[in-house]
Amino acid sequence: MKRQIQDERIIQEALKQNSLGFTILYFGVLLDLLYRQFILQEPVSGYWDLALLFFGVTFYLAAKRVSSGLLTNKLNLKSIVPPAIAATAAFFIVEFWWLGHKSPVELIISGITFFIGFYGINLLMQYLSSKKNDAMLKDD
Amino acid sequence: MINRIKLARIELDLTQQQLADAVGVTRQTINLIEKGNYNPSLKLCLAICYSLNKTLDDLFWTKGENQ
Repeated sequence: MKRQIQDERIIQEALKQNSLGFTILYFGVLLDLLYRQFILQEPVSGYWDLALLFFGVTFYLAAKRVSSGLLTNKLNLKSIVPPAIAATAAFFIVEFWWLGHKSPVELIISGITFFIGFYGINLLMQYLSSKKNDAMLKDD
Repeated sequence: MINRIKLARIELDLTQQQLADAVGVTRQTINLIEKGNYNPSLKLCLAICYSLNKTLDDLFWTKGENQ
């Protein structure tokens, strides 16, 4: 009987093309959201569907990265610090210039809360990902 | 990865299309593998070996390995 092997080269090529198409679409939607939010200053009600789709897909990707153990195979507390600082800086910029929250106390408290929250979520993601990697190494 | 598929295929008097049909891929894939422009998966390597009555060592090796 003839072996039935699907042509892996065609499958791989199609997957690569789909992946590139998805990446273009993903960042296109992100740029569109940023443009509507910060340049056009549209109300959220004008683009909530797109935002919901974008954040839904982002959440799905993050969840899959963690559940499959691809995020990291080892906890690294230091590696979370630079992105947490960058995200907090972006948070400050948006709070100060765009939302107009000028009170230093309010800014500092919200900044610290954001930093801890960001760091904690990333730490949890790393922990779950490394647990998945550990489970892969276990024998039956 | 370097291979000797073309030689082994000709020894058995098979065309690229016949080999492609035997392993379940397109002729283009066989052509790319023979030219070294596509690295097949282990599954496909084994299917090619079975079809050509050769072992993996006979057909595939990497640069630097003596054959």
